[in-house]
Amino acid sequence: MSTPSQQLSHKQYIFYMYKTQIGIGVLILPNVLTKAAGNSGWISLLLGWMIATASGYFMIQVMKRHPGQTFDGMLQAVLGKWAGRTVLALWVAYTACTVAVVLYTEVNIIQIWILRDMNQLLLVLALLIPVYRLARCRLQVQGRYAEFVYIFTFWMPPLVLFSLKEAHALNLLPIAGDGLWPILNGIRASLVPFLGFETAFLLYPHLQDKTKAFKGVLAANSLSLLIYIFVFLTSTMYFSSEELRTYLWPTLQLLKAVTMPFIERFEIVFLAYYIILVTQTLSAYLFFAASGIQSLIGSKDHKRPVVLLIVLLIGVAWIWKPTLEEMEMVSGGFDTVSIGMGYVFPLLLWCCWEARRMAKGALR
Amino acid sequence: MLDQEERLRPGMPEIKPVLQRHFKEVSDFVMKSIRLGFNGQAVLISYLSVVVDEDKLSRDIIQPLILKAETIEQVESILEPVRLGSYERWEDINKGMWKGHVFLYLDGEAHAYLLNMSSWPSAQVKEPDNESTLKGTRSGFIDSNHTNLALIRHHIPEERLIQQEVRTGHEGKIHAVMLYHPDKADPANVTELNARLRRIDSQALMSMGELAESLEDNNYSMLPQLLLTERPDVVASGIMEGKIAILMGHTSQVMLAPMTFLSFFLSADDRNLRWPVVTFFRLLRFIGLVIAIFLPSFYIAAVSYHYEIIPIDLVLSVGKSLERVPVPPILEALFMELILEMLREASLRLPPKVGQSVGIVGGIVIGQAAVEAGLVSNVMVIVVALTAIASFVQPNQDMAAAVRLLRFPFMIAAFLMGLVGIVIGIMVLVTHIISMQSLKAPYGSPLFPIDTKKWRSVLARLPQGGFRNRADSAVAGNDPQADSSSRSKR
Repeated sequence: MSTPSQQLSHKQYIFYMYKTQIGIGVLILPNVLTKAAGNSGWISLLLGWMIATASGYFMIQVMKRHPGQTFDGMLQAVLGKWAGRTVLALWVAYTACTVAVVLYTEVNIIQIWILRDMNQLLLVLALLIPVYRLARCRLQVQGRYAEFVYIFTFWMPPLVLFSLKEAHALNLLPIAGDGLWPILNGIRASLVPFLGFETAFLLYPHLQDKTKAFKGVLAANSLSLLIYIFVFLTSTMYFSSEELRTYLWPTLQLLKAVTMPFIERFEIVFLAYYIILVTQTLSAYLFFAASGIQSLIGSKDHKRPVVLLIVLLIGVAWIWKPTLEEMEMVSGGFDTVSIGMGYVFPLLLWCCWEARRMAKGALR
Repeated sequence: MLDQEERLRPGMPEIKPVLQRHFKEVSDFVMKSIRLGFNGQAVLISYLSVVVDEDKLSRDIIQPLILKAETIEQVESILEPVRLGSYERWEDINKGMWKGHVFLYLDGEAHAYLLNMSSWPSAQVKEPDNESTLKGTRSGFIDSNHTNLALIRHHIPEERLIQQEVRTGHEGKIHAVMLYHPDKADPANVTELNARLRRIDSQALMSMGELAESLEDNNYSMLPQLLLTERPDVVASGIMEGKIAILMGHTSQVMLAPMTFLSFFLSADDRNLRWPVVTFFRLLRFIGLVIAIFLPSFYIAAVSYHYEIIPIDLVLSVGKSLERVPVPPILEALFMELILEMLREASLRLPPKVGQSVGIVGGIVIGQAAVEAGLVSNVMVIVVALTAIASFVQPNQDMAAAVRLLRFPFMIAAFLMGLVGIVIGIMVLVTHIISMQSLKAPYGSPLFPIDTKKWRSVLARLPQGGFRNRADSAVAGNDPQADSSSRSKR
């Protein structure tokens, strides 16, 4: 992994995770969540936030006990050399696949909403240019990009408020009308959009103030929660749960309510601008994968692995041109994997580490 | 060629031929022999006439020596005010004479004197033409370090300013002066700049621009990274903000480093106008920046990919004007933008009287006639004109040029991928800006990394506390005079 001397400020750390979390998820979240939990999905979101924060807590707990160690070093310290390397390889595979899934989904959305006739491969190539430029930079610069994203996307969420003109607050009632089961059922759907906090594993060694590491995770999760609940509540009020089940991208449909005298179909501009956000997600995961490869093969910096991954992604795009339906299937399956990596893994790791510590204590 | 170690041999007959040999091919070489009035001792005076103030020489040296001096002590006292020292090596003497010093030899002595009588031609201090302000100072830098340093010091009543001379370049022939405030400038920046200056290895630097190119961090960037200015008030306020100024004797530009992206959008007038006005102007500049870079590309994207985002009433009129144009929007835009750049460049290089007629030809003939002939559309002419005006509001010419150049890649991106292309362009540009350093400081500061404390001074200009606050602080600093005077003003 890259040298821990690169410093990331607390703000950059929060924004980095927060903007990695906000990706394609927001666009489809109301639909997915309503399908699972009806109009009480926001309670599932709260539960999801708790689980995500707990998971972040376990991560930071383990990382805290290995100061100065990178993710790679920590894994080897807890799991032993070869098991550690295997797990790292799994993480590389997982993060690389995340990049692919997010990228191809984004390409599909762009094709449907903005550029109907554009060649898929060309779009992939074009979208990878900024990702490549960003992911090969120092972590500090990536932190600055997260700050840029934070500031320059500030205007986006309030636009959703335009739809409140025709919203019906009654759609939110009854709260938990179908009992507890749908809410629990919705947790799975609400866990996925919180993914992104696992970059804390990678960022931790580079933090300026490591004592606030957990607070950072908490802040990032809470910021994301705010956005998710806000979007979910507005779209439920605007569409009602019945309608929401039929719209694939309710968040974009919401923006149709935005009318301006000089621009129509504002969601097109919005969605194009949204690529700035998705690029943060892509480059964060790509950087994660590249750093993993870097410590697996022991290369000097993460630039060459980034190039390798980019070439791989283009190669995949060359061969496989997924349609929207295929992409939905793939990402549906992939959600399970990512829940495993993002939520179950930190818990297991923490248990492992606790067990080790207790065993050591017993030996003494 | 000159022998390095050749020494002066006493005696008039020895010296004259040597001098004549050294300056054989120099047309303004002058050699005069005079005799002291009181004892008839021969004196040889020699110099290069174009760089020496001959009136002063005759008035202060030659005439007194012949007419007034009555003892050898008086000769000494006549020479003393301008004497640089006594020299024996011909190499030193020659170098001195090339710099505008006067050679003086009293017959019979073992060494010669050099007198400082140099007068280099230099312009008068006047208001800089290409950085004009409404209320800023009326004096600008000229091609002389002495004047320039004086102009800066005039603005900063501060005895602790550090003025560090750096000799660099091939054989140390380039001479630069670093000027900074020891408490405000970051020592890391000072050392870095010093090291970079010393690394220069060219024979001669013609201008500040060349020096900037060899000092800046990223040579491949379109964006300016160092500020070149002719205004002493800009340099002075830069120094007080912790920047380092570099002066080079023979140019009228002074360089400031380190710079950030946003600091190129500040103007010298910003300190002189009232704060709401300044804040409004700054906002205008940022809006201008956005329009100058994105308007043509946004238009191209809208008409070639995203008709649906244009409101229905507008789409009809735009469509009508596009109907007659045979070329795709990108060609139309490139054509018009290039013509505009040519007009701008032409009016810059031509003498002012001819320059006006270029404007008429460009504005009326090309604008109106091209539309009527159906070569370009009305809307495109409007777009191009707006873009031009927006790029002219930028206070810094280097940044304005960069902005004008930047819109071409964006136009091509818009042509290839519509809005998606533009957004990709934005991301590449932003990544470029945030990954650059200017010396040891991040170029994107204070936006990225976020430094909210500095936003107040860079993005807007808010009231600076004002007279009441300052009067109180003067009381706290127990200065009774400041106190009473401020009260009497009230």
